[in-house]
Amino acid sequence: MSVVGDICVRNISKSFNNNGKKIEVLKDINFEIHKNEFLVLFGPGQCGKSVLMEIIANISEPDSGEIMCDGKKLREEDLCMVFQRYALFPWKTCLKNVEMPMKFKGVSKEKREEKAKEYLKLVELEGFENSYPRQISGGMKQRVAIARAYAKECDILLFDEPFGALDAQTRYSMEKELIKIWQSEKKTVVFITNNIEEAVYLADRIIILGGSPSSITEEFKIEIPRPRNRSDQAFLAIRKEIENRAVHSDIVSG
Amino acid sequence: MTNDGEKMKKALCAVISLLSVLTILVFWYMISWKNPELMPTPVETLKQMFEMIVNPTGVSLFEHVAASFTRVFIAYFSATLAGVLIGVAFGWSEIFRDFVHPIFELLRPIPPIAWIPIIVIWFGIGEVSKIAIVFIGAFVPIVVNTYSGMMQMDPIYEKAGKVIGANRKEMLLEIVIPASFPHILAGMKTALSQSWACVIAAEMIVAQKGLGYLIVRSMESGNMGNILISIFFISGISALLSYLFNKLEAIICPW
Amino acid sequence: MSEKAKVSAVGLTKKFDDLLVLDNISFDIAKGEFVCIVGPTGCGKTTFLNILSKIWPATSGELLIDGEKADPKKHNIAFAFQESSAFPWLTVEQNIRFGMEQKNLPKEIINERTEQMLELLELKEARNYFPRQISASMESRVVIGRSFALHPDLLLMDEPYAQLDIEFRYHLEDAVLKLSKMTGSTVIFVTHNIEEAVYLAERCIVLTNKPTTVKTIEKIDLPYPRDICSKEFTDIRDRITDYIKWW
Repeated sequence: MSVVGDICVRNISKSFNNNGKKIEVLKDINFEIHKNEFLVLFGPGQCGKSVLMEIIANISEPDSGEIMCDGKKLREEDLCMVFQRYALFPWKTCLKNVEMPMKFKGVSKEKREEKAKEYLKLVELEGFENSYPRQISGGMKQRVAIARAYAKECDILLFDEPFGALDAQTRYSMEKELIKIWQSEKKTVVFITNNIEEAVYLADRIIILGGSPSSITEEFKIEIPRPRNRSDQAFLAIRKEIENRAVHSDIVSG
Repeated sequence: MTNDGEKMKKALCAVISLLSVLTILVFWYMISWKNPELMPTPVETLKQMFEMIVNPTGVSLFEHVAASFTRVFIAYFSATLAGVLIGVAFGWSEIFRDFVHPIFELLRPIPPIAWIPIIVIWFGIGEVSKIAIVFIGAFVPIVVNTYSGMMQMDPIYEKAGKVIGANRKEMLLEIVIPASFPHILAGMKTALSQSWACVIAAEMIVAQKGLGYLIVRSMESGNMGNILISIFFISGISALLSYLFNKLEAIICPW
Repeated sequence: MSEKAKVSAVGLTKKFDDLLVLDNISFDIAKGEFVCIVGPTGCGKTTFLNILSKIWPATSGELLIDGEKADPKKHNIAFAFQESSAFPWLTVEQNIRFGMEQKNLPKEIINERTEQMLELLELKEARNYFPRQISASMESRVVIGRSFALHPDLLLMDEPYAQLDIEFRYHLEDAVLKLSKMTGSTVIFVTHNIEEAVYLAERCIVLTNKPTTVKTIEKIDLPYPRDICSKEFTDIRDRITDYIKWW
């Protein structure tokens, strides 16, 4: 397996056509993603953060700019992505869903089944191997999706508002789990959210997108030791600061 | 408490359904009793049916049913195979779609029965003609549904497939086709009732056997009882097929 | 208390066959009070709401409004649920008027309340838009406005803006508080978000896991608007979190 280093996002711009009107969504986005860091991209509603993530994942083409890694173009096989709507395949059981990336890589049937079981165990879903996605709750679906992403065994994981559809408590437990998994098996993570509390809980570093077209407006380093406590004064202070600087400046834009 | 209430409700529903069947029978009985020239009474019809099964003159009722059934069976399965293949090709290959789609769209609105004259001229009045007509009737809805299933697939499955590393072939076989499966099944269901309707129509025009033939013959000889029997069998078999199909769907499409 | 209570639950119990889901839930709520209900995920919240809103019958126990059995025909019970949506064929303004017109309220009152809602929920500029033309956050404001415009005896809210961006939540939370005071409506607000509950509620009813019953009722005596960073606030938040924490 290749081990990739820092990723450079260079001059990314993207616009869409809406009834013949050109709408600029992203303008000249530049930033770096460091190896093994937990980077959170935060931005309001339709600020184009998902578009940016799809460009990084190479499922969407930018108008200009490129995503570089170790001086070369970032390769698809080095990354995987988790979606807000889970994107599990409803016709496959949880286990088969997790096996998919390994199947595509050509891993043998026994080997990938064994590995998939391990990954389901990692997300604490032992015993649900043969359940279909419709039979389990939203939080559990997202766990399966995370296991599937890990099963690709790549260095970079992208999360597109993965917990956005979950209730607050399920969200807390998922955030805790995610950090635990990430600490046990370090990867470079890029995580999108529109929830500041979530951003501060998870991130090593937060990049804030704002304006229209979106560009990077702020950057915060979060140095609170983990596990973090959401009602800790230092935590609340950072949260408030981000709120004041990032949100109230362009509240009307939504 | 609620449990009892639900049971009561279910029982009531059953009673009402039964009542509706009874109503029809009563009406039938009243009409046929007053006007025996219009139709035989239910009891007489039943007797006549029994006669046709046990003691047939010429071709028995079961032979008619079997003839219709065989035609549907052959035509339906070949139409399914061909329809899914063409539908998938439509959805997957833009070149193929651009080339064949206009032709398909031109031919699609023609009712299958309208093909009968052409087919008879080309293929004669043998089995092939009847199977061909049923084939046309079943083929169209399967192609249309397969294609629209692929077009309507939630794009997130394609995105997910891409990020977990599927190549183009795997994308088609592992993701796009299974995702369109419910649509394909819906098309197959429409095709099944369509082929049953087509076989009857075809047999009414060119056949020596089959339920459609039986209806026409009975009309010519003024045998109302036989017409009614054929109609019951047609509706009964159609209902049975769609029931079996739903059962099968639950087995092969459990998600 | 129960003499003057606007809304009382008396021993609400719900069984599905032999499965006990709600176990003897009782509480009183005063007129105009804002009460939040929190509980662990999967605590039978949906069952609870369906019984409060009279969608399902309770196995035993009663919900009383003004001391009488709650009756949707007689009492004015309004809902703003997570999945509630505005009527797509009506404009923002028509949506807000709709409920009041159904109740045959006098024209002047309808006009006055509609203006009030549009003003408070910042929907004035969007009044002639249809739901498909506005954002999700605006649509939830329309649903909230529609519910409060009726000045209901009891308003049931189920995380009506759980899916919204954080910036709008504070906005909406403040607007909802203002509306509840202004209309004098009694509000039961169900949420999974403890911070939100402590921010909004005068009292917070904490439910247990299934079979669901009342674990405790916390009085939250902080002045509005509340500061989520203050020590008093985080103390209450942590205390309630400890009652239900499962993660």
